[in-house]
Amino acid sequence: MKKQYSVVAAFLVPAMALLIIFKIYPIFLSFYDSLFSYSFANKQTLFSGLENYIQIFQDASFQNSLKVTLLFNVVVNPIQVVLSFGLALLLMVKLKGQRVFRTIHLIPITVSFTISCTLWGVLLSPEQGLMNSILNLFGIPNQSFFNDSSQALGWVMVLATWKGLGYWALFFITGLEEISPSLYEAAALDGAGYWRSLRYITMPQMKRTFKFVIVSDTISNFILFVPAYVLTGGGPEGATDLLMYRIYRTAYKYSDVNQASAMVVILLLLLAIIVGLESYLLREKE
Amino acid sequence: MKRKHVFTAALIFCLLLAMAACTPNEPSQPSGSNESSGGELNVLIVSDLDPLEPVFQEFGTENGITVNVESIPYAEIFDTIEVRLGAKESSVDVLVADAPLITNYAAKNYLCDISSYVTEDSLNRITEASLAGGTVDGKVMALPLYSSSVNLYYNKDLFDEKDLEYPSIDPEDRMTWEQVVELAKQLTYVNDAGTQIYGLTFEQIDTPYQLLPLSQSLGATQYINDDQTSVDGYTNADAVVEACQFYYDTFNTWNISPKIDGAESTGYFTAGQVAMFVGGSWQIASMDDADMNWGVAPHPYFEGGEVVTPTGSWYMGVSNYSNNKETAAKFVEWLTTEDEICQETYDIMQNLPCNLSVLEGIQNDPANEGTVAALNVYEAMNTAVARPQMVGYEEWQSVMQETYSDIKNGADPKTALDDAVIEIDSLIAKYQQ
Repeated sequence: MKKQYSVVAAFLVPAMALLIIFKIYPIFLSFYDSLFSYSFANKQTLFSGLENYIQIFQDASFQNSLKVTLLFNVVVNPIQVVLSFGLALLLMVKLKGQRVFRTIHLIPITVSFTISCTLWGVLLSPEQGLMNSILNLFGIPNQSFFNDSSQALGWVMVLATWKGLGYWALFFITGLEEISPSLYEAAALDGAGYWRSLRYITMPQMKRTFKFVIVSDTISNFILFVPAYVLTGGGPEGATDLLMYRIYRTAYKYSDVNQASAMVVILLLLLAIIVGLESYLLREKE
Repeated sequence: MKRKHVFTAALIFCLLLAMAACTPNEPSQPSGSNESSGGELNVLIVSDLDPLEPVFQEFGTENGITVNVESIPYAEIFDTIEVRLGAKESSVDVLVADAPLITNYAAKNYLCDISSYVTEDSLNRITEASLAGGTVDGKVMALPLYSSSVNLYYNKDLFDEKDLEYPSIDPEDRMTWEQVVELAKQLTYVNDAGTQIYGLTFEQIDTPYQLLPLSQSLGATQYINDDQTSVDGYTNADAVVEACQFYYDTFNTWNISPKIDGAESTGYFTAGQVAMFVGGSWQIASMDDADMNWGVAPHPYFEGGEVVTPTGSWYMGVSNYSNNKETAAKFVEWLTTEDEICQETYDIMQNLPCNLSVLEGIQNDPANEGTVAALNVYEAMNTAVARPQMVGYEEWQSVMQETYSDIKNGADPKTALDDAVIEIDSLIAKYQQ
């Protein structure tokens, strides 16, 4: 027995070490840094307690970032989960050439987010974009897309959904493939149609997969950064100023690592609360 | 119980590993590619300076060292400097610094005082104004690679198509912005091939460097209070609002400018999609490469206002975290003050030099009469106004760029500037602490 535990520990050590170095330690470091401020006058770092937290909550730009990030997530997470589940169901239908369809839906995953953003930027360019040319064919005037404060966040949602749909659908496909066909056969014998099977067999069987996808999707969308960095610069008028981008700017453009650390801590707490709530609501009932 | 001990030991071991990994390096033995042997010099430049790489390599050849040049696009250079110097990386020995950011970089300890490495004789070879631009509290923090001037370039073919007279290069016949707008309206049209032609664009769209002269021409002289604690009442002063209204109108009222970003503007001009281009002489090579038929006129001003043109450009400084400070400082001194090297730099870039000998050569050469070179020297001597020097310039510039962009996209100029002032004041408060 003793030897068995040693083997388990030996396997655990590398993973645990990496987890502590790259995940746990930075969290503590962020919290520690958030309690200090750099004094440019004295050229030294001084303890400032909760001053960074007080300052950022009084800052209108941070409040806007928080609002934008919450709005983005409230809208995009349900859309992505529902659409990716729908896509997974479609890709499970037995059709000739279904493998080709599945491959096509994997393409957005294989393209890096930076390249995707650049391509969407070209597609939706207000001046020479393909999308405006198509709209013009139908008599619709040129749109500003990412340059319009009333449209920009919506288009970031479209881009994020396009990028994430195939990825999350993969998990749903895996979950769907694990459901025993005998359950559907039994239901069919009892006269259940597609929708009743979906409601009473598929959905309950997919609960764990849903939980995983919802939690992972929430985390990835809360820390979304690339579209704001590559495409919109947080604008126009702060419309796409996602929290991660504000954190980046605060740390590296405005040279305030301590205040950025306080923002990281707030983001982590926010994520912990939301993910905790999601996990509670989707918990396995005895 | 034993199992618990094994897991506890494993966790403690992990924690020790983590602590060991996270212990900072001793400052005297930093990691990175830069060895303190002096065999290598790592130079971080903006991609605008790529044509100068052969000049950089001459220093390496002369001194038997390897000069590694890392070129970063303009849109990324400021963030790159913040990230790398902010992390106290020793892998950068020499870096470019935009003129108004030198005070900011000095406050952040990014730049090293090179006063003791540079001779008095070298400093006497550059203009006093440019030396002052790199000096903070009496310490030489950076030296000017060159200065800059902005002119109004135009596409002669598009003027011919509309049967319009070419603007004059003579500063005495300088056009007003009002005249430029009237011309631009006539030059905004859809050509026979169905392509939208625009009348006017700035090269560096949304940047204070090119847009400040608009408000300066309308009377703005200061963008922050004397204590450098607030920009309220300065950055959103009436003259700045009026200038931003003009900027707004070019995109949204008169529709004479394409809503593009700075990375696209030169391409639009060289492709013949824009008739007039407010840009720097460093773009002449692109115009020639595109084989376009271009002309040049002096930078416009507002009727009844001051004639103001942009100036200032890239400086070269030594990183405070370099292990090769002496060689790096010698490189900077050699590159920015040596007469021959400055002449070579000028021949390649055609930018306004800061070296007195090169400036004199341009002024005294009759062949330069009526050329961009002579016009640039005239502007430098008579109309150039530097960007504001402030410790929080990085924050100011960043917020203003976003504000200009919002105005371009249709935001109300007054509201946008008032919002910008609140954000800038909040961001620069840290410099008082």
